[in-house]
Amino acid sequence: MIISSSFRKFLTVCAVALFWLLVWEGVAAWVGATIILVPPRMAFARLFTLAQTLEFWLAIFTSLRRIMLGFALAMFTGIFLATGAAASKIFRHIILPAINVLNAMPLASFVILVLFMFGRENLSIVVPFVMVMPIAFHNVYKGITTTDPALLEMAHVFRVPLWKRIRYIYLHSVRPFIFSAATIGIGFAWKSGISAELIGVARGTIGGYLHRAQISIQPIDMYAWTIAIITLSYAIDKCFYLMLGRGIKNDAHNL
Amino acid sequence: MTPIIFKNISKSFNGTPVLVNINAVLSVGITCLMGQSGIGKTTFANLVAGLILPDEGTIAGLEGKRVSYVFQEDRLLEHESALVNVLFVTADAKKNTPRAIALLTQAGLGESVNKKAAELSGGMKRRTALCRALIADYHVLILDEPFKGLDEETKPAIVEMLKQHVQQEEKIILCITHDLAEVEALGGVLLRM
Repeated sequence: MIISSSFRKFLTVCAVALFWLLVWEGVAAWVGATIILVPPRMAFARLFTLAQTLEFWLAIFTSLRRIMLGFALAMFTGIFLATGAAASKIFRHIILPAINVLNAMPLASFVILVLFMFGRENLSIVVPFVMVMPIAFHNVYKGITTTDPALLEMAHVFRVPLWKRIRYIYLHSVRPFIFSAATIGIGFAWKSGISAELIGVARGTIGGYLHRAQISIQPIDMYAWTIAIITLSYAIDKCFYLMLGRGIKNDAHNL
Repeated sequence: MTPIIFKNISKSFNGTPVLVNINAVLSVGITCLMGQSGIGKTTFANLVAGLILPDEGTIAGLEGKRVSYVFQEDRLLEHESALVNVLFVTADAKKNTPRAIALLTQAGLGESVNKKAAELSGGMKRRTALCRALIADYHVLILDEPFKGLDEETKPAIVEMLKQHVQQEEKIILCITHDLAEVEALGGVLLRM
């Protein structure tokens, strides 16, 4: 029987997953206390039950919408500020300390500040924004400033207009840095967004439900929500890579 | 067209003098600049292009002149086609497309018009860079070793193409070369450094 390479890959993934589930089940049986370690079958069974409720999907939708909004805003702002910083030395000197402060600030302190300033509802927009924006800024700034000076000199000699320099020289140089920032940032946005919801006890969100499971000592719920978070994180990553991959292919086609 | 006059030009880089008290006149037609490697030929060309300024002396006659340049390196947009590279320096790409294709075809690149620069050989890249310089709207054309990397079969056709282009229009052409045969083929004034 001939097995295709993609099917073989699928079988390998299934076998590895099964191995770790068995390890988890075995350790849980050895511990013998669901309060400490919930067996996977209980966690998955609870997830299946939760998935049949409207609340579950509303929480996922709310968290996703807010976190993705924060991420998108962070990417746009990072690109905009990096362009300004590359274009003007004064602007760079003004903006850099602020970006560095945001970069160094611990998530917990920031969540408390945001709670006071923006309220619980906006936590999962503002926190991912703050986590991702410096990444976007630094990546794009590096992309702009490492643009081939020989090409820029050539464009200068031929008096090529700015829009053409941006379209044909800068964009080509910056694009891989934007993709890199986006692929790193999406994971950061998701994790920080959920953490912010948890710390800030944002109602009707994934983090909020995770917090409820924690304070009401429902470890099975906690595990079920955690599996949902990991699955969503994986799905977002995959979707994003697919989108970027298509973007890169389209670029190649257009060129 | 007024000539470009170099008067007592000196230029140093990090304290190392490259050009010292240079006097030269570039008039309409071809001026071939010869000299040993590292003597400052490209620095001279960059002064003409306005890419650098002299430490001492004056350059007269550059005002209002547009410069076109075949750099020592090709400086092509590697991810773009040969045609896009040529059109990159034109104000109206649509209008200039037939002329760009004609130039590329004349340079023996008719089959490679839509090939990305990254896919072209060294000689093909050089010819693309030359076509780009020729299509630009210029008063002064600087050619820094324009035939570098061209094989002996292609070179005469490119020299001929350049000569035709120069004869058609009244421009100031500065050609840097190491090869006396190229100077003879192009004609014009020889300037030794």
